[in-house]
Parts: sequence; structure tokens; C-alpha cells
Amino acid sequence: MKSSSPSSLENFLPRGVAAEGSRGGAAVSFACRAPRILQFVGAFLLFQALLSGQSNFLTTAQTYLQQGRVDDARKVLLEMLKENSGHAQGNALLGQIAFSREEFQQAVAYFRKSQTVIAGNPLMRVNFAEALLETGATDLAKRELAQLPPTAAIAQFEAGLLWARHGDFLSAEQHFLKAKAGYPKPQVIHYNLALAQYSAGKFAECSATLDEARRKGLRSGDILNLLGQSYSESGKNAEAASVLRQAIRLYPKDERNYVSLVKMLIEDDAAAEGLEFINMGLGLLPKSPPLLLQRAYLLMSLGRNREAETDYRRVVEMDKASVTARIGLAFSLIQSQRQTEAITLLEELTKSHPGDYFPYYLLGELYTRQGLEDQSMAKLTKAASLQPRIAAIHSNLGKLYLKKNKLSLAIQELETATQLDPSDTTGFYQLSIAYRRMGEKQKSEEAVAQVRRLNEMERELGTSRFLTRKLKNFRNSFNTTSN
Amino acid sequence: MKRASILVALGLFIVFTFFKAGDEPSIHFEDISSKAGLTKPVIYGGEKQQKYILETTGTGVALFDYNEDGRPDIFLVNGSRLNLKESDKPSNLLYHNEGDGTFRDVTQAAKLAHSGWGQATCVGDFDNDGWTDLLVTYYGENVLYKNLGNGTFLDVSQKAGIQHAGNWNSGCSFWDFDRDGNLDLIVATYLDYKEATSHEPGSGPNCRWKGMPVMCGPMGLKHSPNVLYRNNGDGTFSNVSVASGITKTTDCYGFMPVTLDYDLDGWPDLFVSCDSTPNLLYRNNRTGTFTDIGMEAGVALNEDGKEQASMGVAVGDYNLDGYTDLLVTNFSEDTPALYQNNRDGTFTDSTYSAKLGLNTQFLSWGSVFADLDQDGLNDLFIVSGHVYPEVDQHPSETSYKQARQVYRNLGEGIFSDISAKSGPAIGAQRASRGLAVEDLDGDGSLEAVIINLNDTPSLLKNMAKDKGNWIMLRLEGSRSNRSAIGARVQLTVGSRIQSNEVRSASSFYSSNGLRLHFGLGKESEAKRIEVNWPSGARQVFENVKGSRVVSIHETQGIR
Repeated sequence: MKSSSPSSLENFLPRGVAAEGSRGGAAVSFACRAPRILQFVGAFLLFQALLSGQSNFLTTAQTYLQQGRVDDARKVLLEMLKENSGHAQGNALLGQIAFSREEFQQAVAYFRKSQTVIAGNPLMRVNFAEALLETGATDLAKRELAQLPPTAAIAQFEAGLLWARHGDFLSAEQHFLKAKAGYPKPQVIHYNLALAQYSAGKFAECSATLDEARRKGLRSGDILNLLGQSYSESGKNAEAASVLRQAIRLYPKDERNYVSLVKMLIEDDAAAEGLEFINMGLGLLPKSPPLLLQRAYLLMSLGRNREAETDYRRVVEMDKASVTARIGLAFSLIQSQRQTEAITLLEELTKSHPGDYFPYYLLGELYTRQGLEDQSMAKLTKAASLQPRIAAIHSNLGKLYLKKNKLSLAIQELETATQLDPSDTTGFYQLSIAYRRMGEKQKSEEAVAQVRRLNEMERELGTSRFLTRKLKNFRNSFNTTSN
Repeated sequence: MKRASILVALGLFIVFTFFKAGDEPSIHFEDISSKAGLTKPVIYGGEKQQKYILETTGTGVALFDYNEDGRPDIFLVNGSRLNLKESDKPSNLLYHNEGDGTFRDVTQAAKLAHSGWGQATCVGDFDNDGWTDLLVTYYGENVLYKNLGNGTFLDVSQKAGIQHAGNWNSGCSFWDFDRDGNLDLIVATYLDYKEATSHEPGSGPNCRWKGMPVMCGPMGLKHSPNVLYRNNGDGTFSNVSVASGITKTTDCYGFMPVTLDYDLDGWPDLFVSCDSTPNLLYRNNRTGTFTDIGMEAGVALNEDGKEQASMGVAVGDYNLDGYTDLLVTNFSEDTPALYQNNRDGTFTDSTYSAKLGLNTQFLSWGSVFADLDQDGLNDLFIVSGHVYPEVDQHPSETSYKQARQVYRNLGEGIFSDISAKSGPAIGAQRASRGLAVEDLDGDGSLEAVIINLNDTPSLLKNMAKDKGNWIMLRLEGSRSNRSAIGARVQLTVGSRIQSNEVRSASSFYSSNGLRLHFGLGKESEAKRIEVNWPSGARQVFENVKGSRVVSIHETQGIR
């Protein structure tokens, strides 16, 4: 099931707290930024052109840009470059145009020839860096952004967003920190800084940033929700619950807080209390898919599979495209001993979403339980081809190979599994069997020792917490989810 | 009139032909307990709520012929309840098989009346006097009853030296681990004695179930070691637990010890089901010592390397390869674990391959491999019941009382769930624990006796007409222990070879008696019977007629 992880890209600008001209999502705001930059850059370049005396081409290009006639502007600029290919302003504008069209190779080429312009235009430097990133030149991008003036708060902020989009949250954090003092929207900068810190696993720093925001009177559903999650990740469950409860009181229609709080309560084996909160949220937001999905999950954990099935079916009706809901529905059917129906549903999902590994994986599990090993193997092989980084797929494949006595294939899969997930008990246990059959006694004993350690850890933590920890470790090493 | 009669006869012929043999089910259980006279309940723990873990485990049943009249009798272990007045404490129950389908309570007459938190029972002639003795384990002191041969028993616990204060004793088995001809004794223990009544519901992390406060444990509670007694041959036993090496493994909440010669080296080994901890397989080193190889052998955990609840143990050769397999019952939202013997000293978890992984709604206890339809293949019978009676007040979809399960062995290592077609007694819901099977009425098919908590026991009779032929073997040792416990039989029918061992106990806390039942299918005789005795002696008999109980003596052969 997809988790509402705060490090999901769409969270990188808070909803309802817009950067200028943005519609909320980071990608959207970034796209909105480009035309403004064009206009800004255009005005600057015109001024420079007036100084240099090459005003005609640039004036014409500027006029065309203002009229939205980007192709015409481009033609004029190309014409200008025929006479002077190294013209910095011309190259800069062409670079911007290419950038706005996502022609990143071209953009890089033009920006390279406009260093003098870039030197005075921090936002353009950010665009140059982004084009470099999109063409795989990460180190060069880093070097570019390192040249941003520390006081160019907006550019520093945009640089932070850029790194966040590309998953380098530590770099993002550095730029956000530089932007913090001068960025005109304190709520936005604090939130984004905290989010970068959270995503980098720096939960203490994240909490400190958000606490600072609160002390400054900056408060929003986003800030409280993120703070709650950060406390939770730091093991401060009581503080987390308190913050999330406050968030629910203040922003009762923000579904994220219910979801975050309930996740914590499930981990603390307080599912019944979680159900109270989710029902509270559904009272205000009866058609909220995330809340219905969370309640369904809660209900399943309480053994109330039929009720969970009802919630999943409601989400499916509301959102026919929701893979999460249909997978959840499959789980509830499995729990209710209706494996055949679950198989039918999942087989349909593989047809409607052939690129999604999870239905294949789940089918693999189900066919194994039914003793249909060949069918299971086919599904798991397909799942692995779509998503090779899921340990459970490999350990299940390894199990099947071992049953067929295909030892080297089994070991290959099982070793892959345990490398991907060092807490994969299945993988280690099956490896111990495989190694023993190969005569590798010591390796077998080491694998058994690992199984014992993992089982002891699970006993100490309790199964809920053990699984949560596995999921967190997995999420930290691998950010892409199935849906 | 005559013409009409012919027409009627023809009609009836057509009807009977339509329902010809093969269309009728060959497994159809009905509960005849009330008619049979089993009307007294087994009391165990609270009915609506159970405060402590002590109240959850339940008791066992032994089916054995205590008075050697050729008809197995029924012994039911009884339990207790918190805060019961002395006068209300129920006693264990011995029912004499009257031979007419009824059973008579002879507990007092047999001097087997005893109250307490009874647990398991196991049978064996520990003094080789020809009369089967009885052990009952307790939360507290175990009781060893010597069968005096006159319809009565004598408590010889103290004299025998098997009283072990301060234990929560669980399953037991008599067995001759050193092959000296005297039956030794293994007693598993579940928890440290004080832990059984120490923790209030909901008071800790292991005291909640799906958000509901319930009794605590066993996770988080202190283990206690299993106990091995060596028979000194003079009516006494010595505790050799430490010397034998079985106490080296400490983290086991032990439920059911079952004996089996898993590697066919002629020396009995021991499997112990352990709740929420790795199961144990003690390989007999032949020196009076044992090595726990459960992990290496592949029976400690399931195929995902996970510890399971591990309660009851069915022992038998389900795939006719001559080697003993194991099935262990588990908690709900889990499957039983079928450990198929690989014939090389290891086992493989074959639950899913055998199609036993489809039902996860049951919380199961007693389980037996038994040829219920007598077609020559061991079927599977499992009884269930939840641990928490409080579950009935919880909105989850499970229940305290649960139905039984019957899986028919289809051959090729695969089972089919035929519970829905196996008669009304299978669908009946009870909070069941112990289960034993034997042919109580001498018709060759197996009856099942089931312990139901706070309820009367069930006595299930297979009413199906179309069952295969059968043969029952009753072995008697002379150089080997008198009960022939540990004797291994291979019986050839047609091209198939079935195998089984005489054992003192299995399932959950229960004993199927000392006779061995085999289905012969359509054959009327066993082509070959090979008996391997614990003493090392070997006998072979050919073309042994079926449909009877065959007594085989170690030196005198078939009697």
C-alpha cells in the first residue's frame, strides 16, 4: 500500500501555502517560475543590451517573449547568434527558452556560453544547474549551485527545491539553511527546510526547525503534521501523538493528521484508539480515500475483515484507478479465506496495470499458498523484472527454486534478497537450507544465527514494531513505491 | 399386486443403484457422546473471560484398554477454575467401554479420582507387568498411576520419584530412549510455575490481542526446562535431564513431546512442540544423551524462518515413503506446519505443497494422522478453539468455539479439505483441545474423542458405509518394553507400504492408545507385515488376514 510519506515529491511545497504563482505542488510552482524568469531575465538583458548597443535583436526578442511568441523570439535570437555566437545575453535567453521547453541538452550548451550573465543572475544559475542535473552532470550542477551568493535567498530556496526533487536532501538542506534568513515567506522556508531534514533522516534537526517555526508563531497543518511524524521517527511517541492531536483539533479537515496519528497508534498496539480518531475524521470527511483506506487497514488489523472490505470497495467505487484500494481489497479477501476472489481481482489488476509489480508479487504469494508452484514462479519472476529491489520477491523465488532443488538459482535469489534487506528472515532461513545442501556448513550456521537474531529482535520489539522498522529501513533505502 | 411389487422393487433397485458405492462419502462423523454416556463436562478456566494463561491450555484424553478386555476405554483429564470451592472441583474421568456403544463412569472404582489443573495424559506399561499404566501431568505435581490389573490404579508418584515441585507440566510420553526394555518418561513444561497466575490482562505488551486486554503470555514470561526421567527398572525413575543434555536448550515453552525414529537408525528420537519459540528435535546419540538439531533439521521454524505457536503434533507417514512426518498445529491467521521427512535427516515445510495452507481462520490444537476412510492413506483430523473466550465480545470475525477440520489424503503428498462434507459433527463448534482416535466399538473404523473446554466431550463415530477394509495390530514386547512403544511396523497392501510406530502419546496432550490401525482399501489382507522391535528384533509376516485385531508377540509371533 502507498504510504503518505512526507518525502513524496508532491509534498515539497505545502498545499495552501503557495510560492508566488504556484498552485501548490513543487513541480507546478517550478514550472510557473520559468516564464517569470524569462520576463525578469529579458528585462535585465535589455538593459545590458542598451548598454552594449546591440539592442535591436534583444528588444525584438523581448517583445516577442512578452507577447508569448517564444518561437519567434527564438528565431530572432538565433539570427543574432549567427553574427555573434558567443553573445552572452543571447545565449542566456536561448538557454532559458530551451530550459522552459525541457530541452536540457540544448539549455546546457547555451548556458555554458552565458557565464557572465549567469554570474549576475542567481535564478538563472539554478536553471543551469537543473539542466545539468537532467543531463546527468550531477557534479557540475553541484559546482554551479555552490557559486550561488549566500544572500540570494530565493535562488538558494529554489536550489534547495531542486536537490529535493532529485533526492539529495542533504544538499537541499544546505541551501534551505542559507535561504532561511532572507526568504520572504518564513512558513514556506521553515517547512521545506524541515522536510529536507526529515527526508535526510535528520529527525532531531527537523523537530528543532519546526519547533523554531512554532515559536515564531508560524503554524500550519503541514508544520504540525511534519513535526508529529518527526517526533515519531525520533521515538518520541508521546510528543508526536500530542502534536498530531493538536493538529487534528486545529485542522480537523486535514486528513493527513488522522492518517499519521493512526499509524503511530497501530505501531503502539492501540488500534482501537486509532479507530476512534479515524471515525472522527470520516465524520467530517466521509469521502476521503486516505481515511477510508487507513480505516480499512485498521479494521483488518483488528480482524474485522468484512468491514475492511466494505471500506476498500467504497474507495474503489470512488476512484476506479486506485491500485492501493484494490490491493487492500485483495488483502481483506485473503484474510476472509476468499483466496479465489482475491486472485481474480489481482489478475485483473495485472491486466489494467501491467507495469505495477505488486499485484504480481501478491499473486505469487497466493499461488504458493495454494500449492501452485509453477504459477507462483511465473508471477514472481514477472514481479522481479518490474521491480528488482524488493527482497521478498527474491526470497520467495529462492524458496521455490529450492523446492525444485535448483540450488544455484535458489542461492542467487536468496543472497539478493538478504543483501536488499538484512532483516529478511525468510531469505536467511532458506539460505541456511540451501547452503547446507551445498555442503557449506559454516555459511549455513551463520545464516541460522542471523535468523535467530532476527526472531529475537521481533520478540523484543513485538511484531508490529518489527515490521514498521523493516518498512522504514526499506523506505530509507528505496523511495519509489508501487503506487 | 405381484406386478406392483416388481415395479416397486425395480424402482428401489434403480434408486439404490443411483446411490452406488463410491458416490457416498466415506467419511461422515456424527457425535454419539450423549448416547454413549459421556455426559460429564471437562472444566477448564473461565467461560467468558480468562484472567491468566493457566486457564487456556486445556486437557487431554487417553484411549486405552485399562482392563485388557479387548475394548479401549476412555480417560479424560479434567481441569479446574479459579476460586472453585473444594467440593466443586471436578475430577478426572475414566469411562469403561461396556461393549454396547455405551461407557460407564468407573473413576471412583478405579481410584483415579483426582482434582487439579490437569493437563496431559500418556500411557505405557512402565513396570512391564502386562497392565498399561497412566501418567497425568498437572500444573503442580504429576501423578503416576500404576495399573494393578484388577480394575484399579495406585498413585505411585512419590515412590517412583517423578514428583517435581514447582512446574507447569504439559505434555508427556513414555518411551524407551536407552532401549533397555524399560519405559522412560519425558515431561515437557510450559512455563515457570509462578508465571501462570502472575500477570493481569492488558498489563503489558504481551497482554493484548487486537487491542483487547487478554491474559498475558507466553511471550515475555519465564520458561522452565523439560524433564527426562530414566526408568531404573525397579519402579523408580531418576531425573536425567541435565545428564542427557536436553536442558541445553532453554528457550522453549514446551507443549507436546512426541517420540519418533525420524532417521530410522533404530533409536527413538524426540520432537517437542514449543509455543512461540523454536520447536525441538532431539536426536538420540545412543549414549543416553541427546542433541537438539531442530534448526538444522528444518522442524524448528516454518518455511519463512518464523517461530509459530506450535501446540499439537500429529505424527505419521503421510506420503508412504517409510519415514515419519510431522504436522504441528498453530494459532489463527497462520497455517498448520507440515514437516515432510526428507529421508536424509532433514525435513521440509511442505504445508503449501500439500495444500494445507488455505485455512488460516482456525486456532488448532489436537491433530492426528489417521486413515479415516481406510483407503491406505493417512488423512488428517484437527480440532480447534480459540485461546481467548473474550474474543466473542470482540467485533473481529473469529470465535471462541470453532469447527473441526478433516483433510482427505489424495495421495501424491496432497490433501483436500473435506470438512464441509464430513458430517454434522465436523461443523459443530466447540472450544476443543485434546483429541485421540481409536476403534472403540470394534468395527474397524476409528472413533474420535475430543476434549471440549467447559463442555461435555465429543465422541465422533464415522457412520459412512463405504469405507475400506482394515486391520488392527496389537503388539506385545518381551525383550522390548511390554507396551511395544517404539516398535515400528511396515505394512504392505498391494503396492503400497504403510508405516507407523507404537507411541505413548501425540496430538495435543493425548494418547491414541497402543494399537496400530491400518486401512487396507479394497484388499482383504496385508500382503506383508514387518515389525522392528526396540530390542532390535525383526519379524516378518505375510498374507495376514484383515478385518480383525491381530496380536503380535515379540518372540511368539502372531497369537
